[in-house]
Amino acid sequence: MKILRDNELYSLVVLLMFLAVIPQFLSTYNVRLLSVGLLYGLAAVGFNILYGYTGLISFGHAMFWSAGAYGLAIGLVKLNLDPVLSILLAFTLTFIIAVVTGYLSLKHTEIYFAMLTLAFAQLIYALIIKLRDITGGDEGIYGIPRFPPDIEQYYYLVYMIVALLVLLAWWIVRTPLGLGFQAVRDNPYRAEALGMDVRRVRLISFVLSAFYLSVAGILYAPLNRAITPDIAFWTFSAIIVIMTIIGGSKNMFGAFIGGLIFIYINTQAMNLTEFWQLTLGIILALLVYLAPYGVVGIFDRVVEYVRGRR
Amino acid sequence: MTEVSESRRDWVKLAGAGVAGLAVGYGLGFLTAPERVVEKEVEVPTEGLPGIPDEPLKIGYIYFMTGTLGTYGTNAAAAIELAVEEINNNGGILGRKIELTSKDEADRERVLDNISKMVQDEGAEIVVGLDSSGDALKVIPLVEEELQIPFIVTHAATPKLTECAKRKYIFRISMYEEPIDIMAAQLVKELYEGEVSVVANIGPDYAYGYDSWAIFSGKLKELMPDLEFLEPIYTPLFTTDYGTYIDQIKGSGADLLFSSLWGGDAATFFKQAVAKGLFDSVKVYMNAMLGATDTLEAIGNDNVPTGVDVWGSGRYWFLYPPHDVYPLNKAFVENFRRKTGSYPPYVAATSYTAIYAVKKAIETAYVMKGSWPEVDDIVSALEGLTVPGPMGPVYIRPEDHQGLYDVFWGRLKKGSPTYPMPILDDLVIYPPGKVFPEPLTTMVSC
Repeated sequence: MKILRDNELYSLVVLLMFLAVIPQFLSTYNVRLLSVGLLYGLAAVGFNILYGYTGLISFGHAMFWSAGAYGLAIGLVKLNLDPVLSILLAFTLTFIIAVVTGYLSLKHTEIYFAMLTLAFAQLIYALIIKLRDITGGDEGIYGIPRFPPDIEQYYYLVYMIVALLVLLAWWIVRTPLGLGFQAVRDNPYRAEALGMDVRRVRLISFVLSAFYLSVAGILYAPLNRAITPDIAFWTFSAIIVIMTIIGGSKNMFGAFIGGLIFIYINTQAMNLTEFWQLTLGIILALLVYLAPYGVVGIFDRVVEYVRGRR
Repeated sequence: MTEVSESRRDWVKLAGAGVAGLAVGYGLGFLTAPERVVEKEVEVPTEGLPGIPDEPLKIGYIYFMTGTLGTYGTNAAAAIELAVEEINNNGGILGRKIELTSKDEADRERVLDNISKMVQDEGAEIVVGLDSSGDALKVIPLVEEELQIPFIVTHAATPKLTECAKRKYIFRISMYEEPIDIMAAQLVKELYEGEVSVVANIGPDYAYGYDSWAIFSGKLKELMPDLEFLEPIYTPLFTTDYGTYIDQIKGSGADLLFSSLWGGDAATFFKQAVAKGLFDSVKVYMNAMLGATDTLEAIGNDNVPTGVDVWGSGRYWFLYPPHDVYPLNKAFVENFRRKTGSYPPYVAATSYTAIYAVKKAIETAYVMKGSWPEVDDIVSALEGLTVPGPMGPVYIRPEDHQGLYDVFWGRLKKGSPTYPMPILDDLVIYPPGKVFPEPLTTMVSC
């Protein structure tokens, strides 16, 4: 029963082992694509801490990816700081934005919370466009150094950090803190009655989730060597939500594989037809309609079906 | 009427004296040959050459193919297909046929992935395109350090792309914003000295709008220091109601209005300005992007005001060089209309020229080398190349990889009954030597 859901750690480890070996057989382009896939997967895992495990949907998570990417780029390119200080700058920026927007948005839940996060994210987008002396405005920041410069070596740097953080996420949601997230998700009133500070638990989940997105952004900027404000726009927030739902939000494995699958579908749709957005939309709609528990849910059903016939 | 003769004079000047290193003898050579210009000129055989690969040469292009800016891409794609059909029907490049692959720039977050895919996965040896300046700047590290293939930008107009540092693999064949804005200032000095005194600006609220005003006002201050410059107005993209801005300009006493609004915004603003009587007080209106066929179609023949001098410019105007003296442009306009049913906008002319630049560079490099050229040979051949395009001969300056050709400003006039849209007439043409800044210099901060 429920191979992928009940054997999440096992599935994750197998997938990660596969991802460690596969670049050896891929072209430079596909290694690059897979690096982006890993980062999208990491973003989905981070998003899922808040969405799948704490029961809050944010339409503004692009702001944390951007806080990481822009924080690093501003540190490295505009301020000529060393990498460590630049990463610290990115984290500080993320932390401040996450605490402030989280504190204010979490006065509400459900769609009101979602709308508030969307509004704050658009505010961050507007700031990036307007503060052109710092952010480069609509032209972005280019010439971000990458270390190591070789794309395959960089893939392994990304891989190690992503693997560590994904396994960490798997662990966190099993700690008392993570169980607290789920208690708040399942029944906030009971959680409160049991003495939990529900808003604080939600805020911790929100900030933790933001940290994951920020790391993805920090690794994304050097991968592309350049960033533009598109990564702060609401459409990117939507992508983060969509890929988590595609993979399946019931566990971390689902979210992670959702990022990889999204990249693959997006690339294939573009290759097949000039109506790639329509194609992508239809595929996503079908996935959500036919597989409410995501790709992981499909896998489970196939396994159950095969076992049932035996 | 004086402007007509001026434009003629300038054209004669161009043809006779030669301009800024343009190979004019070459230019005259192709005046008589509308098609297969290069073949007749260089006499390169198309078959049986040694050292030519059998498989087709793959060229990739990337533009906005969908969404609000999607017409840029569909027009550019039509022009690229036109060039490729012409070349392939005449035997290809040194006998090697061209094959195309394309991507949609509207996939905003994935522009770099998609360019990498064309080059590293689909085998594109050359890439052309890019509408957005942000994207053009974003591809620099990828192209220069990883892909290392000739990349010819045909639209994005920020001076920073070519003028802030010398690029190795990146070229831009299309006009960028600076020469157009500099010429605007020179034109004001030439035509309106003593007639205008207060200068206003309305432009789009992003880098292109700020840069255009910085260049135009900077140059004009240098030429006419006594003018009064008002605080520039910037409007969001896709604004639908310019009423308050128009009132603001009306109340400011401005008699010269400069604008870098483009596309639908330029048309919307203009129509509302006419309706609200802005041109009762503004005597001269100059829009750096009015010379775009889509914008003029949106304005329509009924909205051409009298009693005001409306000037427009752009990166290509389909009636220049005049069809009677420059058959290449005539053939391009006719072929493009046959293919798409519309008059070619500037992206069509520049992307078409990019394909011919690739062809000519490969042929030149082949002559030097005796076998199919490597990337570095093609890059060297592109540097200093002069390629005939619909906009006239384009000289690719080796110092900054920027394409140089004539800059125009023309007066807005009713196009009826010949054209379904207003046209630019009384063209004033400045040769590149008069308006292009020195290579690797710009008035915009890098």
